[in-house]
Amino acid sequence: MTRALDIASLLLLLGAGVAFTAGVVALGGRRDLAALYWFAVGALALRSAVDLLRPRGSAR
Amino acid sequence: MTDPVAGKRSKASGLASAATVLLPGTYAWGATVASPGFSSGLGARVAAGAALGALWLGAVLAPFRPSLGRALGITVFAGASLGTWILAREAIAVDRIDAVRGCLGGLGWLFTVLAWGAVRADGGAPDGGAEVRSARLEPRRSLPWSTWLLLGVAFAAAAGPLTAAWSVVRAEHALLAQSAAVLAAISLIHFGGLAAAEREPTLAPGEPTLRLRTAWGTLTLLVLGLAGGLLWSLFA
Repeated sequence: MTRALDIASLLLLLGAGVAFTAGVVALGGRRDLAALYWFAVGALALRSAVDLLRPRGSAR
Repeated sequence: MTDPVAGKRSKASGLASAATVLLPGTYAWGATVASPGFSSGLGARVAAGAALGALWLGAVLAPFRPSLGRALGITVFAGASLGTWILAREAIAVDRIDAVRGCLGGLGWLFTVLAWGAVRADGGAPDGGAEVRSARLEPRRSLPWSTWLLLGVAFAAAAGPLTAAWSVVRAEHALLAQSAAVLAAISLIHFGGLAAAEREPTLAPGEPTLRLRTAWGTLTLLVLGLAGGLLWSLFA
């Protein structure tokens, strides 16, 4: 279970990077609403990854 | 009876700390706020003047009233500068920005923020609860592989937005994309690094249930957001 959560949190961290990248690409493609959406998804994925990796302190 | 030498030394120290903030702060204001502010309307001029006044008042008050001084010198200074830029937005259009002055002004802001920082007192404990740890901290001989893996993933994830930002060709949005990409990369590396530091073998990771419970709220929001985006792309 612990190993599965570690892998999930790594994937979430990578997913956050992909979502931020999609946001920047959408910004360049004149899709501002989509850019905001992807930035929000990236922030949520990053926060989830950190909460899974270090649950005591969470994101400071 | 107060010691006159100590009093003079204290005044000199206060003046030195004020000058450390005022020199870069005034330079940053002059390079990035004054010129657009004073070439625009009355509102922008008032906001630009208020920014400089807040910086000077904050720096002078900081040695005696630290909270008030920092509130004026950091928050009000930055807020009034932002107000100036909003009111003088035509003067700071991308095609009218002087690149060299902008870079030098950015350095001025960087040194201003660094100058407001405080040096930790000797023997003081850093944030993070080190003073309440029951066990002694063992010296690190080498980092575990999971730390390197986590850092590698964080750096790889941060490379994506930084690379993609260079593909944005619209002038205004290119600047915004670079800023957003740098912010995203800093967040990924910062939080990835913090999480990696917590993965030390001497610090037991949280129990799976605790980890899931902590992340439950954000994971739910993430799934709802992804589902909503999928439905929107299918039916909109």
